[in-house]
Amino acid sequence: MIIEMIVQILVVMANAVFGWFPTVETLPTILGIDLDYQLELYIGMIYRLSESLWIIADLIVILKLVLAYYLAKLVLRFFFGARFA
Amino acid sequence: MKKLLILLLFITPIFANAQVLLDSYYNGSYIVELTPEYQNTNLQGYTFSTQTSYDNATTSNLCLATSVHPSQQFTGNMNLGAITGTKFQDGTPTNPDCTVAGDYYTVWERISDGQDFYAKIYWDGATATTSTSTIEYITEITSVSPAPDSLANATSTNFAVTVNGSISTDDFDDDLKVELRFLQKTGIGQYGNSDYAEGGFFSIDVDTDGLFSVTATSSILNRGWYEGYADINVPRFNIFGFNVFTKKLDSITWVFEVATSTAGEAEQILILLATTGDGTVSASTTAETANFSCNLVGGFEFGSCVGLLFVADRDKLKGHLDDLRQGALAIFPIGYATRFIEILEGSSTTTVKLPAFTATLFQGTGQEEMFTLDMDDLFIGANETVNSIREPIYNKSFQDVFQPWVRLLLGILLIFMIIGDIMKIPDDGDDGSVASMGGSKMAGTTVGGTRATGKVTTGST
Repeated sequence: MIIEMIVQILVVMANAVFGWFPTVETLPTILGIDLDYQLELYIGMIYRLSESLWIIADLIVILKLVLAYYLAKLVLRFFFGARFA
Repeated sequence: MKKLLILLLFITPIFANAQVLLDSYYNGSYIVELTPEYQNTNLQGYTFSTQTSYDNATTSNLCLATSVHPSQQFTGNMNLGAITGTKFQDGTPTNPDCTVAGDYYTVWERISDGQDFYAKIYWDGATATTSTSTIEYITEITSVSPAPDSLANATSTNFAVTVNGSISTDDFDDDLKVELRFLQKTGIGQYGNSDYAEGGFFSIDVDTDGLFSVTATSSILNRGWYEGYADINVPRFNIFGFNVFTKKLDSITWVFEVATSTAGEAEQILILLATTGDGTVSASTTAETANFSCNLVGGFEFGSCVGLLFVADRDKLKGHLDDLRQGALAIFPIGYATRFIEILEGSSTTTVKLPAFTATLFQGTGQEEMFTLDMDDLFIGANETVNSIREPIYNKSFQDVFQPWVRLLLGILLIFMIIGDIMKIPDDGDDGSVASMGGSKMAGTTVGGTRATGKVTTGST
């Protein structure tokens, strides 16, 4: 109950703080390049390729884990400073 | 006498192939080849003959009631009522022959392998006839149960999967097997995740040609979506009693849901209770018991109550995180990162076919040749070919054998990478050097105007 309440308060606060800004539906177009479309296209192709070359699917999972690790490190560094992470 | 025996040797298989005798019209599907003049896209209005002959059949009762395949553009009843000899005739939806109780209803569709055309007849007759036919089976999987995207009939401990189909006389082999495998999707939803948990693998012998129906019972009962694979495989290249290769004659992949999981739910709930200090309560009263554990009037249990206070309810937590994802995480500026991750995960990305390249080759004679490289066909076909080769003992494909090892290797590399990265993290301004480990404060030292990092430097500090 306590953890749940803390999470709920944090979520409500975060939604209230950012609620003023617009919702992001797609990635922007920069210098005439539609990033959203291009990423969807080429990542879609990679996923299609991973249906045949299953090792690509495994590499994607590992890539996600690596990105998650560095993201978590960034968050920790943001809150606790470089001494912690 | 010798010549007669040789003659009989040649005649017998021809006769056997030409006169496949159906003992009776059991329910199932049969294939008849269509003659060329009736290989049109729309068969409505045509009278066409097939290789089928219904001797002594009460043909006025035979109805082809509904078109299965939308491309047939066929909405009326196909009626064999006016059949004479070997002719089919289409009828009308209100044809009385197709509405009388006890009639023999069938459903048909037309299929093609690119060269020959066939009509597939699903016999749904309740009563067997004494008809004979030259109809032959083809090797195919006609249906599965639970049907694609539908619900499995589960008991309290398991659920069953059934594969129905037929084997042609030519394809039949004593070692022919129907192989059935179903994997539980560990993600949420029907198309949620590409990670699976093994649900069961079964290799079932098919004893005779003709219709078959095989059923396998799961070894687990977890609620969720499953992906089923069914193959008809016949062995090839038998070496010293081991079938080195198998040839896949037909296959189907589909998804189905298992929703009634009494045992699975009970197990999960008991695990949850164990974390809150009460693992002995029956599953049916779990929720109530968990709440009662903090009730001061009756059933108060300190351990369970503390656990209830600090262990967040998974569903409620998930609801809050969903709110966050739809709220702050979807809003500028974090929304861009969320959208990027969304695309990277493939959750919003439809798989796109790989590109095909076409090149025009000019010949010296002035003629042109088109050269096309379809990467999609190339990779998908190569994958099917590689996976059609199975090792002989556990009948696993190349992917089944090597994927766990590749994942183990990648996992170990990931762990080493993370450990190595953590070991490099400087502590309190230290630069991670040997000198700093010895207690001297190398951080902040400048050598020649640059900050020394990661190296033991000589000189004064």
